[in-house]
Amino acid sequence: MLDAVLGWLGVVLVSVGVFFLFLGALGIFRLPDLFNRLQAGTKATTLGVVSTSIGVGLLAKGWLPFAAALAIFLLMTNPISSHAVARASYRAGVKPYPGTDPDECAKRHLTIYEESEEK
Amino acid sequence: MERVESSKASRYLYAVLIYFFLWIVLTYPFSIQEWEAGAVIAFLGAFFSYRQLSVSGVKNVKRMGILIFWYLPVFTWEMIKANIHVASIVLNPRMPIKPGIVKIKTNLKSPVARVWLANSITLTPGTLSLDVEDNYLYIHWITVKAKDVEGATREIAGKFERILEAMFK
Repeated sequence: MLDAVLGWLGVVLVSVGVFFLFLGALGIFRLPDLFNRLQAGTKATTLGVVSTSIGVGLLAKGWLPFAAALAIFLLMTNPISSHAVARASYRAGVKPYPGTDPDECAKRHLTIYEESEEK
Repeated sequence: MERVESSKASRYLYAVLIYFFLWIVLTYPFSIQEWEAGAVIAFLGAFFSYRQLSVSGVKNVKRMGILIFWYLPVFTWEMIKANIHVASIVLNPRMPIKPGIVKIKTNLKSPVARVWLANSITLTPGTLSLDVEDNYLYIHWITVKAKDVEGATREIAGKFERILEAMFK
């Protein structure tokens, strides 16, 4: 009985994960600029991969501890990598989508450029 | 940014605990022989690497309690909301986005707490942490609701900042 319930829970989790992974891919395709795409990519893939791996852990007996460890590592590292990509591309001069308002970061980078030119 | 270090003994003990716990989890079908080997390796490994592993030592165990029983439920709920939000934007044919980069202020002092705050912000609805400068974080927001620093701080960081303040006290 319990095995059947856990099995179905695993199937549901894997399906939800796959659905959100698909939404992440669709978001990367549809959204207008790098930062919006990163948003869709990060959130949807994080939940997608975490939910898929926990679902697999429930389906395959004895793999739950490994799946949970994998999920925790992904939860901690995925946002860091997306933050690194966003920060590096903003500094490298990737322009946000024209409708972006307000752009507090631009003011700051303007002052950084002026200071470096004065030196 | 302050960086208060605990005593060496406490940091060493914390490293041993973490390594032993990881060993138990990763050698899952439990057996007492594996545990003995794991204990020896945990004590040795901790001796070489406790300086790099943690700053505050055994205090982290209390933090993990708060992390699991208070932070994790709030965070899981926020993450599910974030995904429904992304889904509603991506699947809507008109794509209702109104992006902007806002500035928020944080009162958290320790660097680790700020990493946690930035990570939580990235995984909650519609926000992505972009840069950090002194006490300010720059956030890319997919549907801007408040343009000023105070309003944005309340909207974005409010929930997590309280928890993290209790955690990194």
